[in-house]
Amino acid sequence: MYRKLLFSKSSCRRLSTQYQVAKAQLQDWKSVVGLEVHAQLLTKSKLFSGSSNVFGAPLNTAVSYFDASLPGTLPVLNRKCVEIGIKTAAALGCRINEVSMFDRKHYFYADLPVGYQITQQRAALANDGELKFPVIVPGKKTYYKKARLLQLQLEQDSGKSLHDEELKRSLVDLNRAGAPLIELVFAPDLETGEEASSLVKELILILKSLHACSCKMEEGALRVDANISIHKCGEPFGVRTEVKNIGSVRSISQAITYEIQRQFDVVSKGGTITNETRSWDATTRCTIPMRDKEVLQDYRFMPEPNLPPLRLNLSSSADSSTSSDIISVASITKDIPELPEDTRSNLVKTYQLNQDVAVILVNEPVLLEYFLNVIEHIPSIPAKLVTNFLINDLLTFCNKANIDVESCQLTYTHLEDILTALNAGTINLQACRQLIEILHQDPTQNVQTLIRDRNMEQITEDETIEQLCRQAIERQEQAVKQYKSGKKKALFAIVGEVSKLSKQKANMKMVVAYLEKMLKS
Amino acid sequence: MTTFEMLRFLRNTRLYCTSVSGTNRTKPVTTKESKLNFKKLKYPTKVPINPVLQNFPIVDKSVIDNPTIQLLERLALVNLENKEALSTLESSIEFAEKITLIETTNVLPFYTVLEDQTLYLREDSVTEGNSRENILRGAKVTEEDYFVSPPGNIPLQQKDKDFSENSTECKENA
Repeated sequence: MYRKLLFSKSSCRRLSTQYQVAKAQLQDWKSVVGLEVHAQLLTKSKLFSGSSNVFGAPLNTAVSYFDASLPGTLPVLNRKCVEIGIKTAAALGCRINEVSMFDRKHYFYADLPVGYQITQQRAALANDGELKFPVIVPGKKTYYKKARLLQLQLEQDSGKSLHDEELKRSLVDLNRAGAPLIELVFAPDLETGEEASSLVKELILILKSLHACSCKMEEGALRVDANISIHKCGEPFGVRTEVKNIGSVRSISQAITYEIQRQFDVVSKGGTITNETRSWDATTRCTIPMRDKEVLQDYRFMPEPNLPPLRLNLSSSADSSTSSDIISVASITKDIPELPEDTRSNLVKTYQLNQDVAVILVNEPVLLEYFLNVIEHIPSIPAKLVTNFLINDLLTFCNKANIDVESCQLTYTHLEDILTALNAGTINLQACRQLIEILHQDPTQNVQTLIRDRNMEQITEDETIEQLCRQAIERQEQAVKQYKSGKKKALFAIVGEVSKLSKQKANMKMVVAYLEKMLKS
Repeated sequence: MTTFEMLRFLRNTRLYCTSVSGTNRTKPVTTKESKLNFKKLKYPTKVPINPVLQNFPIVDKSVIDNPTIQLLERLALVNLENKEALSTLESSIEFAEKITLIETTNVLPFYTVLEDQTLYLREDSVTEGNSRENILRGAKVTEEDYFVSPPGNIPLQQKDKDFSENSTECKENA
């Protein structure tokens, strides 16, 4: 087993370089990506039963007789699920259907004891929406992309099975069986892995702001399946493969990029793509074929006979007077909060922020909260200084330390103190970075005391700066020569020397000004 | 629901079967009389009482190949034991195929008799669960509060079946 793993790892790495070559050979070919997203709804109880919908309940305790498929039990739809569905549909610009129906989709699987999943196929809750989202590709300019949302439907989740390979059996926990899901089916409007992960990021922001889903991918609260194909420009779409088991936003981009390149490789070698389901292995960073589905599955869809049609009131804002079971769509959609795209344009308009800066702030809700609080409490600090600090220093620190911004120990009070000191010129950016590091280790410290005790104040006295510059010029003779012969970049070497000499406490703006003046003469 | 509302609801509900003659209330109802008399129904059933001969064109008998048999066995979890079972299956398909010959253009599908009803919605509150003992009681094998099942989604090893006349398998079964 271990040897097998080792082999697949090395072969994967070797293949990835081949793929680059393969892609170059197939220049007029295009990749097409479509996503299907399942989001678990944030409700107290399940979709059709009154058992608890919590993550991590003791084994087989959040199970009603209906969830365990005991004979004689019937589904009763949860009102809250319909409301969340309507909200999400409206936020994604869908056409919400006045009448929708439920269907049975048949599977034979131990964690689905009744043998079918209740879903919506013929007449879903909503159709024809659209999601517009910014695509962030490192090293490229952020651009906007649109993906059509074909269908939004309510459906049941299945239970969970643990496979015991050795004893050839499965252990089944039905706690998740019957949990409410919305499935979002997107049209194949995307081209790359980055676009797909950006779409999911935007969707997560929307679902979180609606309190529709916790979006914790590590808990399986949000699951993404990707359909991927390649074709020659101007020709119809190629045969697609489906990649499942993608467990994080980062893996979405990796898995899709890998699969696109694998397909390019197969085609460039004269092979053909077969319609199959592949699974993403995060440790080897490969997609591997899954063993099921050699034949196209027949789900034997049929109307769910136990559930009459679900009706909504599209015309008036009050719940219907004749029946409390007809929810008024307008009464739900009036409570939709500000969506991420609105937040971005508001930031750009109100604080004259750069579009890219706004995208990053909105993608990191903690940073956005910090920004809005600082701007409100200390309006004297320019917005640009705040965003620069948050993105270039705080976020960079978190990325380097490989932690989420949420888990950074720095408190809001620390942030205010650092920014006030930075704005007043008491400390420079280098000192700020040091402070972030110290405070992350020990959040009980006080910023002012730290600055005083560790002598972090910025050097701004003219004489000291001048003296430091002179020293640096003496030490960096070669750089001075280069600079004088026209190589302006050589100045950085001298500036760096000053920074070193001053133990990174000199005011860099003053240093640059001094050096330029001194070297001119 | 008040009595008035109840009455209004009942009046609005479509009645599928209405008896022509009113029931006699003075007489005690015997079991025999309380049975529905189909001949007295205002809207009798549309299902013909006597068999009706229909002339459907004869369709080619479907041939089921081995992979399909294996797939059906997997889906149904029933083994096709002998040639008889196969011919039963073939004639069932032939019988059901006739439905595809019925003219249904411009006929809207009728999914459920509850079509004109509205789905009842329940408030989101936890009212069930925490009954692990009861839930697991029906299970034959359990392990640490899990249900235990055979491994799923792994294709079963299946042998090709030979239903031709001279096959040994058939002779053994016969």
